[in-house]
Amino acid sequence: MKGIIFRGLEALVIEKCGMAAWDDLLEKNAPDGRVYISAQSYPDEEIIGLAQDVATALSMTMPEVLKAFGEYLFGHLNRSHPTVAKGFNSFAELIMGIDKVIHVEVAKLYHEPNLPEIESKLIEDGFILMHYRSKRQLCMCAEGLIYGAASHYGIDVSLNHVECMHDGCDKCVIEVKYEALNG
Amino acid sequence: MAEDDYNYKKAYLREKAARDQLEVLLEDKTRKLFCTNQELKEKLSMLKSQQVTIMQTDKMATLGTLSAGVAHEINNPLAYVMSNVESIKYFKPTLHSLMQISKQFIDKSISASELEAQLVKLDQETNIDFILEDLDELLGDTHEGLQRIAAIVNNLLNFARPKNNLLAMADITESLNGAIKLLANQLKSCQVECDYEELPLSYCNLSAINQVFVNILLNAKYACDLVDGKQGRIVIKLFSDEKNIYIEIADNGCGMDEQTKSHIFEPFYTTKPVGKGTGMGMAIVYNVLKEHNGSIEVESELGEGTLMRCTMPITLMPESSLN
Repeated sequence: MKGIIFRGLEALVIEKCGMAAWDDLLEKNAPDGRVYISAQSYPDEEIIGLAQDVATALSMTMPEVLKAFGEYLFGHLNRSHPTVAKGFNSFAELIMGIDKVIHVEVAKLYHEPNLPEIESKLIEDGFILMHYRSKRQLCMCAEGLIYGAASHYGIDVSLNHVECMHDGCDKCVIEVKYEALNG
Repeated sequence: MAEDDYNYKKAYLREKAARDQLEVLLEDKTRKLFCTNQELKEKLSMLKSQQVTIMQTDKMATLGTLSAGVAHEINNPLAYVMSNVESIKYFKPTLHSLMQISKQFIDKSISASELEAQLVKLDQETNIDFILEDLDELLGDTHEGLQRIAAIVNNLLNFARPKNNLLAMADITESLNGAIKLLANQLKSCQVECDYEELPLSYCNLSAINQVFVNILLNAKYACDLVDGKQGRIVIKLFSDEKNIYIEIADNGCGMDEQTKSHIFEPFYTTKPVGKGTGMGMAIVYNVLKEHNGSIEVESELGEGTLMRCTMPITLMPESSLN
């Protein structure tokens, strides 16, 4: 997993729980002296361990933590890479451009062989059907990112996770319903 | 511990800001590097495509040089094939009559005695014995002549076809034999000696290897022709060890001085008069061998001759460099 995601989690934990909490999490889940750098890759187990401990500390489930993190992560990424979202005129354009535009930009900056595959199909105005495939199975984080994107565009969105890799499916199928007029 | 009390918060925020700034710098540089890399990839692909065009142009120029010889090579068998067909055409009325008489007898429109009478008459008029004897020879020679023409055309096509990307397990001996056949007329002025060992198959682009042999052999012949009063001699050796295939082509031609030797693999470098050479021959030889992870060495002495030694690794699997 790329350091940029860890840095998002770091910012979230420090903002919500303070530096001491982040230090504790690092001591427990990462090697001594760990400092995350966006372009560097770190073991997936570290982010899973960190997220699990956050879930325990906040008495939340892992999916809830990942979703909340995803939502926060969108804002974090948008602050560090403001030009990416500026390239899209609407929520729908951004969702449709994840694989063909955003992931292409990611590939330019970071060598990340395990990017999730996301196929989005505009069924009708206000309804996008998204297919998510990833070895990491962080579909709840993807959901959070979608909520974050909706919040960025100031629209309401509702998600229906109709198929999930955690239930043994080969991909997650997420129905994305949003306010068409604004989005 | 409350956040406000955390002693190192300021230091942390400063360090975080530094990390952010450095990451922005790194990302800017990475993005530029990515774009430059893309441009280089496009240019490399363009250069490769131009290289293919240059190779094909050189082939066509070589074909121009070869055309007179090839025409002569085809003309010989063509002459006797035409003459034989003319003779067979002369036998046609007799053969036609024979078949007609046989058909009449099968259809019972003539009796056995009439059949015999007509056959005797035909034999007296045309000499069936002679036709029987001659026809076999005529057809045999015609067949052999057409096969020779087919082989010449096949060699020519193998050389000319732009199938530069066709990679296969192949015996390089075939390629050398094809080149020697293709240049048969050109090499008539030289004494050509071949010393081949049985070679293992190797994964290669046979069409490109053909061009290597044709170009080296044409240069060897040209060097021999420049020496008056000495029988031109080209000695070709093919052998291998566990790792490599070696091809040596030696001539007793005019040889090269040090300056020529140091330039021969440069594109457009030629010692031939204007209009006689493209200057791409040895550059292509060098590139083809390089693409096969091979190499070429040159030993040459002015007035004594030249030895070209090509080394090609034996490759049993397709390699990414062979493209």
